[in-house]
Amino acid sequence: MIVEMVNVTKDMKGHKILNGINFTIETPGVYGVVGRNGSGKSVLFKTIAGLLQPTIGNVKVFGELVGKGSFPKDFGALFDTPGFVPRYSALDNLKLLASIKGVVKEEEIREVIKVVGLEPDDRRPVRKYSLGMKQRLGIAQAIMEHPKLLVLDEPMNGLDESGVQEVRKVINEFKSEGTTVLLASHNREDIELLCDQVYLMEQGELRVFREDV
Amino acid sequence: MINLLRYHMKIFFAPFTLLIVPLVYALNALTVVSINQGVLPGDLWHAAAFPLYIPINLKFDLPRWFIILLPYMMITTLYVQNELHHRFSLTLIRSGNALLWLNSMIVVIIKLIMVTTLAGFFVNLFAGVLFGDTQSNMVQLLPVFTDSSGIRLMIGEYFMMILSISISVLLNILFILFIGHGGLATLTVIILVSVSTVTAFLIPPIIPWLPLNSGMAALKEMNNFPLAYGLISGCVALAILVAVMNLVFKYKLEQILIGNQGRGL
Repeated sequence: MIVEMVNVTKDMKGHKILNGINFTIETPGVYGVVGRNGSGKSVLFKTIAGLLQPTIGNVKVFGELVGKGSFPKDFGALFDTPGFVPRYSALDNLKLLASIKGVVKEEEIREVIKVVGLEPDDRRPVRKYSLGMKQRLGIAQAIMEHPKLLVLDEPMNGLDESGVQEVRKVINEFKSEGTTVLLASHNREDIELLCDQVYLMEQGELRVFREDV
Repeated sequence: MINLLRYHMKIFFAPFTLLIVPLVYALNALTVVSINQGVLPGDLWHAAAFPLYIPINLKFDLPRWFIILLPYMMITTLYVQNELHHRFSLTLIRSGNALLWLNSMIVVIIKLIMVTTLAGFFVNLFAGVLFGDTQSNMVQLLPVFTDSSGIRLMIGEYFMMILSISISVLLNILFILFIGHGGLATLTVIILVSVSTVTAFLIPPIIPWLPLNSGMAALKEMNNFPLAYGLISGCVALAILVAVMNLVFKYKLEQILIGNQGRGL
């Protein structure tokens, strides 16, 4: 089992953001989650990432419980537009983050930067980057450690058309390599083109919206 | 843990961080020179220790202590806020353990305080070379200058300052975790240090047990309490503070993550 959520409820400030969710992913593929702003998509993803603890129920990723300070292994994520060290270049920022796990080499990081359409030898500090460039870098950090589970929360935010095409290509490449991708997007086209299965998040509940697999 | 230590160190040990503290020590030494007829009293070591004799006069010396303290608090406040607001989820997912992240940061902060304070002491030594004056009649006014060796004064002062600066800085981070606002947290620490210093003046016997004041050499020397007292109370306070920070961090972790990254929940 790649992801297993059993009866997961998440209360925040008296509101049920997730309401008794039972959700499993057994086979690799691209799984889309759609829903209006505030429907709980980000909370769902952060709960899978172990960043938020379910009020009731439990979450397992690759068979291991997550939450309460433990996080999934072989996992990459993009939540919002991540912040980087403003005075560092793109390469230095990714090297810094990669140094925590120590599983990727500089050459691989350079390659990932190229994959998302940035230039690894660009020495400009990240503070001079546009929102779209920061978003590309955010995607690069999510994929650089070749995770088996990739969670992307609105990855197309701030991207121009070429950026969107590049990210779609990246997602398809990861899919073909057997990575499981969880994708939240407001863009109907992204969901239709990329996802094998689509779920709708509504009032804290998750239900199958479209099943192609 | 080692990887996380390296991570924090790479960001902390930046040229600005390493320069600002020695610059403030230089500013402090020059201020003291300017109010003492252009000299620092005593031989090289005593002269170097003299600008750190804080606070003899509350109105003048307490602000001088804050000038020394503020860069440490500013550097760490900016760091903690940037990390928690922008990079926390990225580092947390990779480190796999939130408390490891916190404790490695605390270790690096104390290391940074030790290194930059050492640099500040070298600035003081340099000031001692430039402005030291054995003929100054100020030497006679401070018995501790005639009774103790300058090297002993400097070494004692170094360790006591590291302890009280570390306590102030970690207290500042604890308040950031509680209040979520760096400016308010720093203001709270300034108020606490002021209260502690006034208490020290009002009730001198409890000075050895006021770790926030340990770095204020004049209080220690004038009241003649042994270095070991200050070191023990400082280390105990530091250990308690780190334990409280761990508890608060664990308790507030989810709130921190929601507060900082919770847009569009």
